[in-house]
Amino acid sequence: MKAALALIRRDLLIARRGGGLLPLAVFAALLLVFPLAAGPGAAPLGRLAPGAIWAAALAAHLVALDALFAADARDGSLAAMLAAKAPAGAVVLAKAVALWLAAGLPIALVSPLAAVALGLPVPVLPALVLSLLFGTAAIALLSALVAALALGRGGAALAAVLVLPLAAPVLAFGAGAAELAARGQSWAAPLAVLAALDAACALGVPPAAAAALRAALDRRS
Amino acid sequence: MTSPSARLAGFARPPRLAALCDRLVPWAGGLFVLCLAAALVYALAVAPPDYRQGEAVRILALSLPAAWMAVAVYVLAALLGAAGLTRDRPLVFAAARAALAPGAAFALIAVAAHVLWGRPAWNAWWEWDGRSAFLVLLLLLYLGAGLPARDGDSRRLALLLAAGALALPFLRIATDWWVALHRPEGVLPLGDEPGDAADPLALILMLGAFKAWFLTVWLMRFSAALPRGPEGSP
Repeated sequence: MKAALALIRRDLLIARRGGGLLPLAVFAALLLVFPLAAGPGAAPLGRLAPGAIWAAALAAHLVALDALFAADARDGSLAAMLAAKAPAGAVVLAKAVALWLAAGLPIALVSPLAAVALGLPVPVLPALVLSLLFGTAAIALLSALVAALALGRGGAALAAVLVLPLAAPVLAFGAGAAELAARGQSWAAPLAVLAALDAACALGVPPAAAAALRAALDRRS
Repeated sequence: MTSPSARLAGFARPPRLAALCDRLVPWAGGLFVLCLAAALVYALAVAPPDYRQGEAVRILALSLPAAWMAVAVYVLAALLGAAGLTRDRPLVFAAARAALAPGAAFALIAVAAHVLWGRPAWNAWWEWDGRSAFLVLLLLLYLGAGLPARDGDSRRLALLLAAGALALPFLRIATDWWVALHRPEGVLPLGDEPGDAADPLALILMLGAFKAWFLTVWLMRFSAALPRGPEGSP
């Protein structure tokens, strides 16, 4: 537990020093480009806003995904972490939490600004922020899994192909929650599904990603 | 006199296994030709046209079994990969890897037939209904599995296949839910499941043909991946 906390703190420090806010920047840039490309006119933008925000949030994670384990694998610290006493699953979980703190959380906090700029009505905002908070957690965990699977071979392109189908349910239910809220209907059900997906990913991803990291390091040595 | 289980275990030796596969290939191929002939004759000539879709319903006899096979082969490869992971058996990994290419072919056939069918049935080459979205995501899963399958890292391929197979039911539910949420009334003129219009016997015959084709290609690819013994050894 202490080791995991130390790892999260270390990853956040690295993120703060070297372009760790890149996902947030990509998220903001995509949402700035979207109205410019689609043209002004509030009504169609507001209709597309939940989908655009969710697509931008997923794309923002793709940027951070490649660097999740690559730097640590290159300088050998990943091998040291896996050889240490802390279980390898905890290392993966810590990495995913650090990614969520550096990408998902700020994206969820900034999203009301983007939503209002896109013309989404204010009553929809709680659904959007909550679904992003829950959904990006699952996306961060899936990113950790995919980064471990794609480590050391082709990196970003493979990771993008892998993460899209795995994250598609999160995208559908997340954007669906905001869509239901925009119609004034109850959005509790998709949020509950997102929470369930979080729990399933939190249980399933660490052991699988740890096994993938071990296989990757075995091949390297 | 060897016991039956010892005789069976003898087939686990790669050269004998390869010889067995090679012997089975012509039979599976012959079964494929027979089933395909029966399926084509029945689906194209005997089965009646649908009262709403007309002759276009015959394309479903291609696209639905292909989609079923694409899902089934992915799950089969994932199960083989999981079995290989627990015991670390290279032969089982080879069997999983051999199944991927024909499975991806089924996914491609399903998408292509779906596009061809959409034109007469929906008056559009592509419509984002639940099945179309699911097929595209399945194709992506195959694409993602194909890249690591090439560099021979079997353990990570097996982990990836397991993750994809576990995601499959969620994908199907999510795509259906997503379509139900976003569909304005009347986009699908044919009802919720246009596949219901397909003739069941045509589907079964084509499914049999696809299964035989998969068996043929799978055995050929598996046998080609096995190491061969020196000439004349059993």
